[in-house]
Amino acid sequence: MGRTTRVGIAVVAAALLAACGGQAAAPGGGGMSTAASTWDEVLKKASEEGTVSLYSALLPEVNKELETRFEKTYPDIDLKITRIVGPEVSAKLDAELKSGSLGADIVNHVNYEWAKTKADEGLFAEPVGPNGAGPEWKGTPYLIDDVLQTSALTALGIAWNTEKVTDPPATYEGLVDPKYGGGRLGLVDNLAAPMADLYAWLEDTYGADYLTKLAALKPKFYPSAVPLQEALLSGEISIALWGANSTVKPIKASGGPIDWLMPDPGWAPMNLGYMFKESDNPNAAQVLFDFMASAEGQESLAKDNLSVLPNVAGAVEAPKELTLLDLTRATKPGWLGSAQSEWKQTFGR
Amino acid sequence: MKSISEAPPAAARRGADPKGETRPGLSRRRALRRHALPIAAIIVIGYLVLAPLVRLQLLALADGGAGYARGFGTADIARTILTTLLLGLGSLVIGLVFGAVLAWYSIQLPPRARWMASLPILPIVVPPVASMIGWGLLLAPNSGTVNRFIRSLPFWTGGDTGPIDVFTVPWIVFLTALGLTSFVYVFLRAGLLRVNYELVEAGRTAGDGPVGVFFRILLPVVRPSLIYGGAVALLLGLGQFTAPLLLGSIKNVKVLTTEVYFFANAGLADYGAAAAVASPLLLVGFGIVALQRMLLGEERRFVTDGGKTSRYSARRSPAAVVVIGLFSAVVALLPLLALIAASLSPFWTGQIDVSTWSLKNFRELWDTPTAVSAVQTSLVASGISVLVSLPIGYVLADILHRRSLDARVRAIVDILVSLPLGVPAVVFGAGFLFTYTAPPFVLYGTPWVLVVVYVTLMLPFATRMQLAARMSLGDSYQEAARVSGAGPVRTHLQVVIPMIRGSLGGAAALIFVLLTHEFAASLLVRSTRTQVMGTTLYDLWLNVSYPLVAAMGLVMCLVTAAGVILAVRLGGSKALESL
Repeated sequence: MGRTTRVGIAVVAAALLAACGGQAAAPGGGGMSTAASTWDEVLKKASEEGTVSLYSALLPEVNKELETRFEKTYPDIDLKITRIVGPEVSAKLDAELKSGSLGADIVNHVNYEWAKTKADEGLFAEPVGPNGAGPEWKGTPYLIDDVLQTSALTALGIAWNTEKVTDPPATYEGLVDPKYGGGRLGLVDNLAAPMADLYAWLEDTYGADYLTKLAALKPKFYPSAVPLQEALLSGEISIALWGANSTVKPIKASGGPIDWLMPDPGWAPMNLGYMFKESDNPNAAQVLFDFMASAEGQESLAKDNLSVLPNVAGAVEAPKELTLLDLTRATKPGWLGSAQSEWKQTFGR
Repeated sequence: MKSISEAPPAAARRGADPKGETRPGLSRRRALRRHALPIAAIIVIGYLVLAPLVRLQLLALADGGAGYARGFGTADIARTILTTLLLGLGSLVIGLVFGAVLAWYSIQLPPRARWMASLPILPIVVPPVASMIGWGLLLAPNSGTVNRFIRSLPFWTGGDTGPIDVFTVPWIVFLTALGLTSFVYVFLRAGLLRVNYELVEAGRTAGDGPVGVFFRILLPVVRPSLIYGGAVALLLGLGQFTAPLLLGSIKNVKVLTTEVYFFANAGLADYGAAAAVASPLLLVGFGIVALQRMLLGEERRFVTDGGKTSRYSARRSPAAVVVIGLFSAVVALLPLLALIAASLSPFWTGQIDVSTWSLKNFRELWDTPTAVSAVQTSLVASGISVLVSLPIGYVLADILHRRSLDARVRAIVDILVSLPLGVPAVVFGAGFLFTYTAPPFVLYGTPWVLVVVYVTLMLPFATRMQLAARMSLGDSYQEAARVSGAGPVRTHLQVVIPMIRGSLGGAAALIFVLLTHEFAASLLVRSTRTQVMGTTLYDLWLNVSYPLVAAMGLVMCLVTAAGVILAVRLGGSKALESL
């Protein structure tokens, strides 16, 4: 798949269908097993269920926005969001499925390989709502295999401590500078597919020795965007790759010495949303899935973030050259392990 | 091999023969009856302790040892093992030195300052996960408050970073050692309190200097305490997880326990590889438990901490007040102060600005349902585990205490009870996660899995502390009760248990404190519905902010302190001594 585009996210996303091989619907993916057949009935039953549990890798501020707006639209349904970062979510979901104690009705995460495998096994329900199964999604690259919704794109870039850095680089290439050596640069640990894909993209874009040059700066490593940002705020690191606009912005507004930019060319990972056929609240899950596909849902997911659909209010303007995470690569069995292994050798981890 | 059915001849002689059975048959039945409870206990605790470890090992050995190939196939496994050894041995040496110095000074405290003898155990009361985050705030090379202070001193000529780097191996070893010091201190102080002062004086009169007295008199007497305390410290050091995870990962510091965690929590969880990298720790743990038994022999030789009145009378030293006060202030209070400062700040910049302080983070924590429910789950799971652990520990202590039982049965119970100390909690966590997500006991996702894990982890503490109390009590009261016509149940309920009430309170306090702190095993067996304080604190660290993490850490400290106070009130003043 051609992973880079200069004309916007939608065109890049269009390639996702091809990336995933234009898969036929998952075997057995015929929709809910216990949910009602008409949308009105789904809404009624969802209100009776009264709650929906979402496992999310979305950033905290995005989760808050999603919860607030969803509960305002559907006051009878309590949205409970559990943020799980990194690869732990797959281990947790496996344990829950194995022990019959599934805690999530719906997931919005970046565990691509796991999600693709389970989609192929027919574990997920197809959407039945007017938005989720509507023309903007169904049959488009945004709804992979009819069950995986590319519901969000995270705006990641360069963040810096404004007391330590006054002239931040506008590109990732500019991070390879001796002035950021000696532990001043913070990187995200290569724990999951999005990180692995970003590092692979950086090598593809800036040359095979880019990571070696980064490693020579003796950077510090953090497991996710939030600890990285806290280290920036404290001044422990001066500048960081994997800064997230949605979490930087409120801190900056409250006087924190921190700022953010999205480099051009840029890179962004997508979140995949999926619902379990067998969950405690399958109807409420349908309602949330549908909400995430709606204009309002997209606004909440794109607040200070990138947007999947075009013309979404409050979204960050994408750079002219934006590459989305390569889903073909990220779902290829064995790729992640081998990419992480090479990366560890480069950085001595 | 001798069978347990071969009862002593005396027992056979005492038996009546109403049905005309042969004496050997009768004695065999009696021996079996006498051993029924111990054998049942062996089956239960054997399953609890061994099932998770055996199932993990079988997984690692499957497919021709593929788990081992994956676990030990990483490029930097040699460095990881070396760092683990450095952490274990380095923190042991430092912990022994600090623990010995503190124990030595603690018995020289002036009478009015004797209360200070409890201070060096304060680090045990502060949750390690909170204390490590506190140290991170203080000693981070660029932003740490202590480093900033040192760099602001007039004589500082270095650069704009350091001098302390808390993310490196030496400092992780040092901070781990500070925590272990408390354990060594507890054991060594108990040993020193048993030293006969007349022996020390005799040594001096015979011309021994301080060194001679130390090596010829003190060291042999405290040998059991030293070996036991040292072994516990070594196992805790080798199994250290919190500091390498929270501090070490920032600068490539990896140990075997963090590898176990990452393998078990990888996108496609690899329990086989996790079990494989845990194996060296298991081997060392089993080895130390066996060695300890060999060196110390019968348990009644080394469980003597409950000695009644010390005959030791050391010289008083004002320096003792300074040394113990300074250690406690630095080790326990400094990280707590960092947590307080961070929890009151809107965001942590490493600089303390009182004008920005507010209780906003505590309000936010209160409004976070997962945090509130984690406190509840911690309290309930820890409370139930205490209630379950104490009777189990009582029965196991009774088995170990009964000399009439077959020595091999007692040895098996002793080893099974000791094993949880030899196995790092994170390894147990991986084993429990794997074991209790599948039949026959599917407990994952319920709070019961926490209770089962906690009870297993606390077996050594629940048993040893009660055994020490039974040793200290002796058999005379029990025999008097039996002679007076009380049955075994009444003897235990109305004589033994009331007389060891203080020790029971102490055991309850220690178990409660350790469980409300528990982090490593909980991190693996928790589900999204069953979070405890330690795991929530970790999640806040990953997902929210340092100030909220600090607030949660302080809540953990308060809960622990409340637990200790409650146990002391229930168990009397002896509870604190036992703790």
